[in-house]
Amino acid sequence: MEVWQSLAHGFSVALLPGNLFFALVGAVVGTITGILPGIGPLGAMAILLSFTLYMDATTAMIFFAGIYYGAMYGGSTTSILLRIPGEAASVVTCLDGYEMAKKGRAGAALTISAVGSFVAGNISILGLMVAAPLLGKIALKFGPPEFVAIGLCGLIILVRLEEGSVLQSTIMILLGLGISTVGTDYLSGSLRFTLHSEQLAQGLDLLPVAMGLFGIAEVLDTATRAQGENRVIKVKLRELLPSGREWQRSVSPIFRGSFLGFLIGLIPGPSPVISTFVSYVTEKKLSKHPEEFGKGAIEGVAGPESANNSAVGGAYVPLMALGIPFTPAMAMVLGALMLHNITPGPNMIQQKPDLFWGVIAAMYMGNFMLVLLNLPMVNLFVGILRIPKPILFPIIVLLCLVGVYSVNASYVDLFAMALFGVIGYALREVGFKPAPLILAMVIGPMIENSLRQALLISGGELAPLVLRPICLTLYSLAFCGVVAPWVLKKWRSGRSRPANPLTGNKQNKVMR
Amino acid sequence: MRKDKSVALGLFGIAVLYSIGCMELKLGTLRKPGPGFFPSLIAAALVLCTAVHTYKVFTRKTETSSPPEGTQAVNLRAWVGIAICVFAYPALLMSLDFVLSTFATVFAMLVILRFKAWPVCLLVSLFTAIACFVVFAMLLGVALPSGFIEMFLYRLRG
Repeated sequence: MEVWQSLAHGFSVALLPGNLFFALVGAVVGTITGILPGIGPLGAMAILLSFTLYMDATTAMIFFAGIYYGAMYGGSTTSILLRIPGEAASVVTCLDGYEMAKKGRAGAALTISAVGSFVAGNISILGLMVAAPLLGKIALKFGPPEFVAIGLCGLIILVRLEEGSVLQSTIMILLGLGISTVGTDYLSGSLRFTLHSEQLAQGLDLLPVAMGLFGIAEVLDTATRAQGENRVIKVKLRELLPSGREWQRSVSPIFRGSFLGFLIGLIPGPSPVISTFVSYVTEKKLSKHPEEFGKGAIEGVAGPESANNSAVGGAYVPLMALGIPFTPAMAMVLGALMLHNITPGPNMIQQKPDLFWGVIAAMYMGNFMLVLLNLPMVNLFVGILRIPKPILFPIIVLLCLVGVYSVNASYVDLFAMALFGVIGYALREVGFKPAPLILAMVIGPMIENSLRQALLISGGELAPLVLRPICLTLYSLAFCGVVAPWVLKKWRSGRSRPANPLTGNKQNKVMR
Repeated sequence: MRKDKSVALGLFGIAVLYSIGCMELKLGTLRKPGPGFFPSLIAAALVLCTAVHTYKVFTRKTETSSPPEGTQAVNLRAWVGIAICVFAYPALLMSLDFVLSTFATVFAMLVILRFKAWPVCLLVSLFTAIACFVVFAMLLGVALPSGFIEMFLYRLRG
């Protein structure tokens, strides 16, 4: 009962004209960034982080929620119509979505994708409504050792799940943690790594680092690649309605994808991306027609598209309840909250109900707006891809430059952004992913402060940091998460070794 | 492969510099960790990881595939041009104020990226600079570096 009253209060906040307007703007901007390959929700949030300074915290959250959901919707549009995934979470949709489009079923794929996203979005928001306050109440009992455990385990699991090599992800995380130590140490007041610069005494802001690594680096990366013409499949309004059989085949994948997505969203790492792959594999295994997958199976669109939207809601749970972002995009949301001097955590839901329930209500509205916007305007949105890159790039660069300057009026921030832009480009060129760096940079101060507090309280004893029940559980889970895939891989490769026909022994090398 | 090696060496260099920076900080004890406690842990792990990475990169077998020379020349122009614009912007902003520096930066990028003929680039960059000032300074109230052009725009608004 209390939940519904709070939700009603949330709607009264979200329905304020200003909030409604920014929910719409966020949804449109998100859709556009989802459509444009490369930028994605993270880049869009990084570029627009400075704009949220001129909004109140609730409006900023509503705006960012709109961007995040919108990007998921937009990404699927280009995947289906062009076979270009606007962002990583839409890669799987290309497999069957584009095949459906080639068979003249683009409209049906788009509708199923939008409806699936809508249903999944709502299910995940429901999950967020229930899980976040519950987790928040439990988290009130957490002390510094638990926060160290959550932070460290989050980073450990992130290393395991992030695409690319484990060593590269670890280096990125360590760099992020290193950057987070620049500035004044809050416990002792000492200056660290400031190079005698007064401006660096405040530390390196998230904004120039994120805008450099994602905004500028993306422009540098895309500008150097050859541009080709995009051939867009046109969709007529009357073609949008799926057939009865297509509806029937989509219902179960949508619900399965929604639940899978929400659960995967709770895990640290690029959860929307992982959820799509898990959903696709699950649907293929459960399908009566697995042979159709990759050739235009509607389940291959319905499941993954529902999963990636649902993962967004799941990813909000740890941020809202614990104040810990488990995905890089959530780190941006945290950055926006910090710009308004709000630190999310166990107390936030009680202390700032307007913010929490306003965002929840705005997510419902955002989902509704996206379905209404995306289907009829699909051709218009896809037309954005026809904007010439030579005009798009200067605008993105300018937004980054002015956006960074407008927050602190600092030239150092501008130089930092330029530097991180070049560093980000160089890292991408050799296969490093900068997302873990951002996440570590945000979680770093929490881990450090909690670790030092925990050591002070325990008198230098390490055992209480590990052996408290919650800590032990978390470390065990992280250990299993890291070791289990390795053991499983070894076990599978052991089983797949063919027996030597002469000796009967299993061979060490796979025979050609 | 050369890129791999350069980045690996760069990362190792950063790790070493960070470790040197850590030495200036008080480490403290386990009972009372100092400001250098956490950075030292990071530095040790970072040096180890980057050293392993560098070793791996340098002992890896080289691949001999390279992109066609023509495209590389075009790409380099765009890359260097944008990078210079991004680094030059803060310096320009300090001396030329907002509208002029923004105009110059956007114009340079449009020309480098071969948008259209230069008079079109000139008009587009002028419009972009003024529109940007109107949105950020006049509508959002951001304090941007202002000179006579900006004052003139403020006066136009009344």
